[in-house]
Amino acid sequence: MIRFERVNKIYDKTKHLALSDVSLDICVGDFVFIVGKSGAGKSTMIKMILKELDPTEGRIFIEDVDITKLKKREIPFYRRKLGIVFQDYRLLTDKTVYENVAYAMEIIEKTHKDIKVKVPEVLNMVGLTHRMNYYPEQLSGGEQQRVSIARAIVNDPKIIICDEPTGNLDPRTSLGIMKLLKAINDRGTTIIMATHDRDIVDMMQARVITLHGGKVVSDKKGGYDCEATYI
Amino acid sequence: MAVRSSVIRKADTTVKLHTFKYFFRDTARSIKRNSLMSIASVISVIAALVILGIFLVIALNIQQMTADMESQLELKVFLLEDISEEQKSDLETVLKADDRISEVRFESKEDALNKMSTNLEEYKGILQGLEQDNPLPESFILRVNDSERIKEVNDSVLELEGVDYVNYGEGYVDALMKFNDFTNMLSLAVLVILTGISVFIIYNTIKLTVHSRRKEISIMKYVGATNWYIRIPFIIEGAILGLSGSILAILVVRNLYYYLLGAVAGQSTLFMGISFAEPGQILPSIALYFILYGIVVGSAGSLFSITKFLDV
Repeated sequence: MIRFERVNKIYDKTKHLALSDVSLDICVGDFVFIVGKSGAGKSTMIKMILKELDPTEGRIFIEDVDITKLKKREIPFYRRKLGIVFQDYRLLTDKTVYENVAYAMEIIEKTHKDIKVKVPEVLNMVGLTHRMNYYPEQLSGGEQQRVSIARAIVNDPKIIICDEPTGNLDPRTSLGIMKLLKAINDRGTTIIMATHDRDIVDMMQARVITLHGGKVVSDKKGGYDCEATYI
Repeated sequence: MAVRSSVIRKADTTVKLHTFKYFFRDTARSIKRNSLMSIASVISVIAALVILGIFLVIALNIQQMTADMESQLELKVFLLEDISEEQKSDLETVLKADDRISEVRFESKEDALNKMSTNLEEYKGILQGLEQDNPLPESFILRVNDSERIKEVNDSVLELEGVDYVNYGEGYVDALMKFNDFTNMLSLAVLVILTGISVFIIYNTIKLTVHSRRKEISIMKYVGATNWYIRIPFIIEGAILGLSGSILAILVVRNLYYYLLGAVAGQSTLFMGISFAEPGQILPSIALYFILYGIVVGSAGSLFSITKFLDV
């Protein structure tokens, strides 16, 4: 479903080699962690999947389409296939929980009727029905992240990209978020999650891709690979 | 290709109708959120348009005055002394057939003398003796449809048989034309400068709006909003700011003009009988022009701004 083929990324300005000869496959329905220290290349990888960055060399396929060749005007339509969850939630502060989720549907021009059915359904799934008319600042961090997950899944994407989704949350809340992501994964959605959070990685026992200095140094199922990280 | 379209739905760029409801809601919110800046830019548009309006009112008044004067312009075609009756009627037929000429009037020797003695009352005595042996020539008095072509008519009439010479107050006409051209040029220059200023003001307002909404814009991009979907609300916002400014400017210009007319109403002698244009005649066209201008300038300023500051 997702394939990196000998991907290199050198940043123009700094000449920094962010990714070096990365090749990997991620299958439909996988739950994949991307781990590594700051600067290891996690963000670069995520940004490439989001088509925010293009590789300097190599190709990236999503469902057999080489996304490095997408035209600029095709990017929005490509991104509608993805759901994105950020560490800092990125909710619109002047919109309610309901509106924040509805917004993702409005943007892709869904009708009011569809929105009215789908948004409560998704909010129910993330357990926030009772917070529907609250504003983000009235919610806890965990609740805000749930809203952001609801927004990511509302358009039924095939892939969800999470960039440090538990980075700002305490362990107990993080656990709740992971359970939610696992539930979404169980319905067949592929989840790719970049994280620092060792406890979570160990707990989930999923596939772990470890990056170090822009290289994939380990790719196996299990927990956080200490050796690989400290090579 | 089939596989490709499963990932990227065909780039459908049309915006659905119900989407405009969202656009107007978001635009209203944005204007409200940046209310101070929005008010400032509306005021600036008003200021620019009021200045423009004053120039327009002056230019339209001058245009009406020159049109009035131009419509009074006449060519006097003096006939040869020995012209036959037949030649005279031939000449009249030719003149009347010319579609540049709107009016042909014959003035006999007697008419000319009568007119002269009326105009020169104090020399009536001297003129009296002339009745028997009238030296004044017969003439046709012409009016032209288009005062700009008066010289051309003059030249062609001069060629006709039986015509001695033609007179049409050449210097006066030229001065009038030049004055008219000058006011037109001046209005155009003012229009260009003020348009530049207004576009710049809207440009800056939208720049601030884009800045204050950059988080929202980045979220829109991640969720898959198309570029036009992101741009349209900003363009609507610019158009609304321009339109509000223009409507208020119309009211200001209208009231100023009525005030001016009221102030000079009692002192018409001051202006040597020159009449001002009727408000009902010029204000509707100014209003229509301002509204179009406001919308176009508002959207254009906004479009420049988002093209530059919205990295989509």
